Amino acid sequence: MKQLIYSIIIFLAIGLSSCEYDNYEPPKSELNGRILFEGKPVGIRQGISVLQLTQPGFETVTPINVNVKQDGTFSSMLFDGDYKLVQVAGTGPWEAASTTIDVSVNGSTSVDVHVRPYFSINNVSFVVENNVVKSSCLLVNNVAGRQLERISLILGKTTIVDDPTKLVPNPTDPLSTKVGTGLNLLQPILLSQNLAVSPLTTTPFLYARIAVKVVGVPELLYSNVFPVKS
Amino acid sequence: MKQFKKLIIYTLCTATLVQISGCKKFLDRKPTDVLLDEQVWSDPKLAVSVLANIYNRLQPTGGLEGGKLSPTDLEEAMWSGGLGANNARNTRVNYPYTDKQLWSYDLIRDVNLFLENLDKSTAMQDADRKHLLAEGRFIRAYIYFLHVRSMGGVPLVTNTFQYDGSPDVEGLKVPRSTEAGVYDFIASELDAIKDQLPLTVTSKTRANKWTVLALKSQAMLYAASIAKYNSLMTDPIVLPGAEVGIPASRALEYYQKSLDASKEIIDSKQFALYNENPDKAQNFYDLFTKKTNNREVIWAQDYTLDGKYHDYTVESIPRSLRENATGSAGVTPSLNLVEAFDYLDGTNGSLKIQTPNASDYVYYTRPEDVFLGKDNRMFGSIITPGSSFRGKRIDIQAGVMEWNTATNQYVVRTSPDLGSVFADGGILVAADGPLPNAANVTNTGFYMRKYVDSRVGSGQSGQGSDIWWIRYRFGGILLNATEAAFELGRTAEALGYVNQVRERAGFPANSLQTLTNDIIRKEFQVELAFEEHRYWDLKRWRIAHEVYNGNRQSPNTLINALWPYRVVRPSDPTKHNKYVFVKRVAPRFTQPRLFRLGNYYSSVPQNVINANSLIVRNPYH
Repeated sequence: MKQLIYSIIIFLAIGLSSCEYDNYEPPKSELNGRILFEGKPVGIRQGISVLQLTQPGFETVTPINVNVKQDGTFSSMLFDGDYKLVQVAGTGPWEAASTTIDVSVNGSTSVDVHVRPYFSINNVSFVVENNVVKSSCLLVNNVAGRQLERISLILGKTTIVDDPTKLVPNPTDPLSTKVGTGLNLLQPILLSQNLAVSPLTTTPFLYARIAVKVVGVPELLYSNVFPVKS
Repeated sequence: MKQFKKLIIYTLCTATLVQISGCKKFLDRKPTDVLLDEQVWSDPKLAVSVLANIYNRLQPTGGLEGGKLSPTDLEEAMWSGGLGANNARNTRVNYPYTDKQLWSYDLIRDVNLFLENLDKSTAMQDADRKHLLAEGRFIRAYIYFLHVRSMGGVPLVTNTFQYDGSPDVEGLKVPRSTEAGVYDFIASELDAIKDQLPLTVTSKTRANKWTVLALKSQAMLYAASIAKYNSLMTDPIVLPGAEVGIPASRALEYYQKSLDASKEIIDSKQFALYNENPDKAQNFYDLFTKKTNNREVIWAQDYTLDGKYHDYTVESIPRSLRENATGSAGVTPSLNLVEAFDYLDGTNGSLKIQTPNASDYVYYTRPEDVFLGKDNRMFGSIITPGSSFRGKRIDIQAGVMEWNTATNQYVVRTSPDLGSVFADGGILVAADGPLPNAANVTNTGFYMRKYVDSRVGSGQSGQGSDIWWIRYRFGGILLNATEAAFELGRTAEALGYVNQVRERAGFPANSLQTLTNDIIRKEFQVELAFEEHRYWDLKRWRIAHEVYNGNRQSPNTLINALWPYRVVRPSDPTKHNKYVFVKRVAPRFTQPRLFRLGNYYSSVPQNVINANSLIVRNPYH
């Protein structure tokens, strides 16, 4: 019996120790960053492909996709080394630029990416009154010639809120969205959504966000997320 | 013991000797299972079979085999089959950039090998060889067309490369051609071979003069609309080397080339719209299923029950008619498409299911009455509630609306069981559904009819269907001519073409008096539904990102369903046992379609970019 236990222990020891040969250290250096305009992070739809990392000098040129969160921050775990952080031109809701930032990663590193969104959403405020969520914001056109298609107050059932996954209230609240043509951008834009309609009454959690659609640009611009029911 | 050892040594020696000497003859035998190059290229029949192999590989994204789910990429249909991997088609957040990706240089190499070997071959008669060479070049042009519509400009390789083992591979690297360059190559190849191919329609499945012209009509129309509509976008999709994007100045030239090719087909009188059956709806269905005396078909991929059949019918047949233990109801048409079909009196095709002030349903005696007066092509393409297929009535009913006299409201009664019966003895849920979350029952309230075989037995997976896949047909050429003529400002001529197509569908003569882009595009949508056109059409018109804009409040980002209910309201005989319809988003369809700018051109495979430094990425990738 003892012999059996010993042999099991020996086998286990061999099994565990021999693993080391084909293992290598995982990447440990963290690259953090933000997508900024005038010092403020730009809100986007989570998961869109706007940034890529490449490391020159290797045989292949396969880029590493950088996942950007909806608040415009990102982080990647990398090996130490020199990288190029490339904006994928035209995929984000901002002026296309194919700028490349040289990033030298050595331990924890942080980098800011500056973009010029077609519109910025300023002075955002949310409030819930009488079971109606109300928002106010000031839109600023940053790129001449870009037309506003619509601005909407959208709601989601998780903290990740974007236009494709939003909840559609039935009936829709006419005050929750405004078309862009003829909208006076000098005044604050007020939007509201009645919460007493299906399916907003039945969801246990509810989060709100302002979304701005620019004509001809598939990706929308977003404000920060406001917890309505959490 | 000693003797035994000796014996072993002797035996071994003999065996070795026999093996060594016997090898020669054995290895010199001619193989019986492989044909050698020289054998193939000295026999016209074998050369043709090489061509047959290549013809068989021409369906990367559509058709009735591997690409049979392509309608579910659009608003025209959704997946109602199994809940496995294909269900992701109903829940995808956006189209991946690899969607419709095509980089078939193995196929292009095989065609180039075919052309080179055939060119060298001396055993073949000159006329035969010329014919086969032209046929090979037609196929190569078609393959390049498939590539350019997916990828934009691709490397134009017209000869084979041999790798000699040297480390220097620079000579093997070919850069991407411009998008216009590929279209120009297609046009010049087609012009060169047009008159070297048979002039009469001897085969509907092999190249002839008319397939060449049909391809030219389509390819030039694609090039023209990209030239025109790309430059009208807010952000035109271009690359600095013009690998994608065609200058707007070339639009008119391409439209003219397309129209010329279409007109040559139309004026030849070799083809006609299929019009053999006075029942216009059945006639439109027959157009796709009847192979004999079908003067509409220009080029098809044929199938036969002698070994080469497909399982399109197994996959998409109505549930109650299925002949297989699994499958059925795979691709189911949407209400979006049903409503795109106009009424024959010319009015908009949206169904009248609610009173004008939306206070009550509209009550119909029979479920099929809601579709009265619709375009016959709808009945020929889609199985609607109450229509018949294979001689059997297809009942589609989601449940019963029972009137509650206390609350003055309808209460919806349903059941998870197909063919269930309500308390009053009438049908509760019909044998063909719809059900909200079940597999292999329609989710939209409709079933596919176009290309589904009405022959009993074709729904068995061991047998399948031999309906052919039509790549080009005369109706499509008339629409190409309509669009090109309209774009060239010849509206009267364009009206002449499109009204022929509509008249065959049952519209009165000259049913259209004016034309707009929207009218033409709708005609493409309904005439060519499920024929793998719309995806590419939306792309070349550069409206895909607006139609599928990811906003679930847009009309065509979600798949809508039409669910019929039977009314149980004995207190009101004008409504009791009548049928009402509810329009809703198909329950299994959860994510709005989002077509990003990066989807206009599929991504170039990463291993291609890694291997060839001259290849540039497509924009937005």
